Amino acid sequence: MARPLSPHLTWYKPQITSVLSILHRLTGIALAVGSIALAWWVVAVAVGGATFANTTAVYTSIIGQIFLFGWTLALSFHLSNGIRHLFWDAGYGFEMTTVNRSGMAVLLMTAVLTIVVWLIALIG
Amino acid sequence: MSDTQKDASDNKTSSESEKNTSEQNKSRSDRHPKDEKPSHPSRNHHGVEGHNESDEYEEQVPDQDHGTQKEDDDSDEVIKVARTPTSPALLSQLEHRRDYARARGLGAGHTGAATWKIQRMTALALIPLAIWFVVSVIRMSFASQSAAAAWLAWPVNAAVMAVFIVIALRHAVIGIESVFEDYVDGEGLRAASVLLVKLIAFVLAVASIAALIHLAI
Repeated sequence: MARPLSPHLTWYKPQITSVLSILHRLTGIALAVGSIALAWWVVAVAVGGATFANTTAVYTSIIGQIFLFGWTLALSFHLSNGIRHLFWDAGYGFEMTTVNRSGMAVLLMTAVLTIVVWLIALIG
Repeated sequence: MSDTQKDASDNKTSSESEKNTSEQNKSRSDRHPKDEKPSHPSRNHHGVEGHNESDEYEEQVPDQDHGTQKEDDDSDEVIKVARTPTSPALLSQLEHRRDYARARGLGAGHTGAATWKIQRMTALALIPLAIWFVVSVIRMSFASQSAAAAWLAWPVNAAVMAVFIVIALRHAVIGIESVFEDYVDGEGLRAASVLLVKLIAFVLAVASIAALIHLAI
């Protein structure tokens, strides 16, 4: 059965509502890819030896750290915006002023969570 | 035009319309001579029994203008609607039932509300689990193999980590599937992509749990 596909992203004028909605999907995809890195780490701990050493070397390299920072950012955002989505599913926060304000709150939460996580990781 | 003239013309018009009405009634009974004959007595005793249905609908239009006959024909019509399989009310009811059956399980997700519900339930569960995960993994990020192994070997950590990985992968599969449904053209390619993602998620879950069991024993 031929059903219409969704219009592609380039059709829309960027607004906080649409940008956060798109970011929710993108961060979701990034985190799905990140689940491979997590599973790999758990397996590497169990296997030990050279496997664990190589994994640690990759994860603590510059590129590895950039990826881990990106995943922290993605998780912080997806978690914050996901809570916002659950409030919508429960029927709250649909007024445009509330939607814009909760969107700003999500961005603030994302920044705070990411910074706190990395401060603890680097200092503690 | 004077008032008297106007009255006269009004009277003329109304008498003309009366005449028309009686003529219409006459012509109608002329059109259905059989209905009035004693060879079809059932019509008078059992209401609609002897009626020809197609004729009944033809008659409805002129009936709108008749005061006294309207009531009788209306009650006839009500019975007709209920009895006739092609009545709009019954038809729309049947169409609605068919469309509902079609909509169930044939939306973009093919399982409809169930997938939506699982996505929300896993999201809700992932709020505390993700916070636990972030806090734990920060502490483990620069850990040695022995420290990490000891930490994962502790039953509570192993159990929560297993639950987190399984629920996160379940949540991820629904999300990726919905992305494919929106942007992958072609039923076959889409089905293959979804199957591949499910396979990867399954392998990741099994590998992680096997590793956690290996560390625990």
